[in-house]
Amino acid sequence: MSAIPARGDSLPERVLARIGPETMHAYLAVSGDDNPLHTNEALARAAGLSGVPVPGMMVMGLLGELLVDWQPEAVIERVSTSFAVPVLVEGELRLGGRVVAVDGVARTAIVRLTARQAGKVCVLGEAEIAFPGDTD
Amino acid sequence: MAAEPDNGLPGRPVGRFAVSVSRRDAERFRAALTPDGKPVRRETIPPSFPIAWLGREDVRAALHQGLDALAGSPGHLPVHVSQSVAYRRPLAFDRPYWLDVSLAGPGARGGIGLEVAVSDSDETLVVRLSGVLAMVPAATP
Repeated sequence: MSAIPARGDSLPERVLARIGPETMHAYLAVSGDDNPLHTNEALARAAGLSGVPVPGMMVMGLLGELLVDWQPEAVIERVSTSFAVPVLVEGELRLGGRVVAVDGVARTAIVRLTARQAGKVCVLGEAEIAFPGDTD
Repeated sequence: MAAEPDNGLPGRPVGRFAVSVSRRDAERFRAALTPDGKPVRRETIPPSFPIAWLGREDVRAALHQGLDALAGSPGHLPVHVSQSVAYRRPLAFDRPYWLDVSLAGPGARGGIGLEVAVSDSDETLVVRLSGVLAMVPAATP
């Protein structure tokens, strides 16, 4: 039976020195994202961005994997994200989270997730995860 | 090409598509989300994987058509404002699913709602996705 985390527990922070165009292009290929904002810096800057943005869904995916690596036996029932500030392909990215609520009877937890770059919260997320019991 | 319109999602139907996910699909997707490209092998499908179905060529083409219609003209680029993925139960490898896609809006702030339902072959809902897209004019560099 998986141990349920406690309210206030933090996920191990994941720090990426950069996403980088190579990694982003690999994601664009598997996700089928053809938005030229992610491959054309001039277009991104003309749209008002300070650099090439990483797809919001890639950041959501990175947060999802952070959860899975933290609790591999848990079932992720829901992940929600808001994309407040574009994450740029260059620049350190810090991924983290904290348990904000636990239901010991239902064996579920709510986790608040963040992706930060240059000191700003770029992506704010929330996940609901369930922990298998003895009979699961 | 879509077999049938969506089954009850809010907004304008984009289409219904037959989808599935193989172990290889999941591993490639997971590898693209792993900084060194060498992910831990898992028996689960990455939670955000359903988004990859929206990037499939036929689904993407239908989405672009729908987005252009809602934006009022072509030449807009969709940018995610928010996205949620909610599971009724986990996805399974190599199982056939129906992907129903619908678009709604624009809303009061101009955002377009992207509604997606993934259902079993017996129409039982498995995953529900809801997102909001902002349509950014593709400015000429």
